[in-house]
Amino acid sequence: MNAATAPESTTPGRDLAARHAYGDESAFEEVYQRFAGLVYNLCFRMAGRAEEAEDLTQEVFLRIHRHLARFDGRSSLKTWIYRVTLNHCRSKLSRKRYPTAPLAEEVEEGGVLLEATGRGPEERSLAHDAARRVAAGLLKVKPKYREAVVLRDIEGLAYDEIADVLGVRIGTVRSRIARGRDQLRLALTSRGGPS
Amino acid sequence: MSRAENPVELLSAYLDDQLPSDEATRVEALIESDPELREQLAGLRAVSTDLGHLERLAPPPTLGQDVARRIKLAGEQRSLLDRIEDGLSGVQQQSNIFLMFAVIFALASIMYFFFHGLERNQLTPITFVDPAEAPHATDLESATTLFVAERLFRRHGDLWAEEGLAPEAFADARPIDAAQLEATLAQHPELRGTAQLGTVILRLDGEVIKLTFPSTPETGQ
Repeated sequence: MNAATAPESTTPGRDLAARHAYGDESAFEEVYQRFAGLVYNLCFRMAGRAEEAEDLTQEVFLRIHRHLARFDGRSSLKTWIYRVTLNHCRSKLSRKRYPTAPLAEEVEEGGVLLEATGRGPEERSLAHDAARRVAAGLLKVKPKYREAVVLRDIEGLAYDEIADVLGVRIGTVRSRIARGRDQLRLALTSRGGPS
Repeated sequence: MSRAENPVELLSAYLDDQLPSDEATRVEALIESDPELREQLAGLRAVSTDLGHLERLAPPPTLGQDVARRIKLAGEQRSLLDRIEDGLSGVQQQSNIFLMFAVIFALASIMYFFFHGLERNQLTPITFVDPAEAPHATDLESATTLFVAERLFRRHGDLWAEEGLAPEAFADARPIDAAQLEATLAQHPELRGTAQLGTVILRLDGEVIKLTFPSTPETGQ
């Protein structure tokens, strides 16, 4: 399975679930190729460490493999996978004490950067430092606010999609995003600001 | 802005175009007039933009293989668990069959010893006779065992002998004549209940005696 070279697929989630239920192994392969990056990045933003994100991603896909046949299509497959991922992160990370403030140096190790910025070396270095500070600051945000902020500002989900993933009302989503952003703003201000 | 409204929440929602147009207009007016709110909004916007610029990471290239390996391992563990479960249920089935045979064997044993014991001891039904109330003649005719005066008697032809006395001892029993009978019954009034039996051989004060009661005329003719 190689997610980096995966072609974009638009097979509906229910079809994939049905194929998986009938023992078609290529269905799960397709799910992995489509969503490995999403799951890995979400785990990474919640855990703050590449090694832990890798473990979490493996476990999330184990869960997906086990439960995919029961996916009923009431939400999109993407929403369902976000939900499975966050539920798993919550249950795993709460046992280990949710990361709230690791050292900035520990953030953003591992994985491969996908975006080539096209900027000069100095500019890239400054941007890299700023990104590290933001990522480290994000881990200071309370987990339930962090989830909402990550889904909104990093994953780019709409408010109603976030409400669906988190299983809360849109008003709650609005409140959590605001609190999360404000906590991050304060965390970055006290460290000298990201940009 | 009223006290109930959270300015950060309003500003954040405004940033995401989540406010109705009239409320958005009101917030814009507030931002225009309040430098602190303007600063807050700028801070929230910067945070949101910075988060959006965080670079996405590609999963490590070996992750797919690791996932596949863990799925395979989980499948093997599950099939092992299934096998253990199947094995346990097989053992349980065997133990159920064994238990059923054990119960049947136990019941059969109980029944065998009960009936065999009855046969060996010739335990025919015992008639209990209250000394104060003489048994009806028909009871005596049909009975082979009687419990009278707190003693168990068995029929031996025309006479009744106390349980435990061998027939060979009957001849050695000291006969109690009519004169002695009253004296004996006076000393042991509980023996009056045996009067209905006619001739009775029993142990009394360490010796075997033979009581012969005079026959009584039948009543109620």
